[in-house]
Amino acid sequence: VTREVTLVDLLDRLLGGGVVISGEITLAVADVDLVQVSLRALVASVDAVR
Amino acid sequence: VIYVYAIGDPQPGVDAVCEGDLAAFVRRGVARPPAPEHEALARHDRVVASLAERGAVLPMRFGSLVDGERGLRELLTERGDQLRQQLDHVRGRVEIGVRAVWADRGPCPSPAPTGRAFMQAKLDRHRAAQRKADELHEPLAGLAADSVLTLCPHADTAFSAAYLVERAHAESFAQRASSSADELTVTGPWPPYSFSG
Repeated sequence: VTREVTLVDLLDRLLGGGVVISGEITLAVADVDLVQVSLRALVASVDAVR
Repeated sequence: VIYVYAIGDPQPGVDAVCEGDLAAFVRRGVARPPAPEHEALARHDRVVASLAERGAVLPMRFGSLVDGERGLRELLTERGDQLRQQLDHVRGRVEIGVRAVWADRGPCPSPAPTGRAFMQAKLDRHRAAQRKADELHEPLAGLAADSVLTLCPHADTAFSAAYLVERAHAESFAQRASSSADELTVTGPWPPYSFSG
């Protein structure tokens, strides 16, 4: 089995999984969550084209 | 500002902030949060995957930044017990991913004439996804140390699942998953992204 990495697999894991740090020391995670929505829309439209 | 890739057992020769027996693997001097673009996501994954090959790690969510070493040490101290427990759970194991796409693009709920019809279509689709998961996911889950199931994660996908399996059995598990149904896409081995939250 190859390590077949598609964008949707990366997105699901890197933006949906992992240890989340919260509180004062977090700077970026909230921004990423916002961008995730638009990225998912992008992925959906790319899939539709294929 | 420090970018954090993962937390895990200390490893020699890697930039890390350590607190007791826990290490946070970092890149220092990061100016601003990385945009979640393909290249940056792939780089995060490459770094975490290479760490995971050399020792037990819990990947951080993409884009995790801390102000400085002090904040990071506090995190390792405050959540130390929980992090160690999670590390023990993933140690020696890898994640295998499985996606089941709808063979016919699915009972799609999109243009329905009324709100009621839309909700009914959505419910039907969810039930169909659950049946598919009962049939295809459950047997695989029984072979794994742990598993996570998401129904209807994307429009074209009935379910996606992640399985935590012994590294030595990853190949045979993946083979078994691929051969159980044509509609399954199997990926991995991954670092334990889905078992670190």
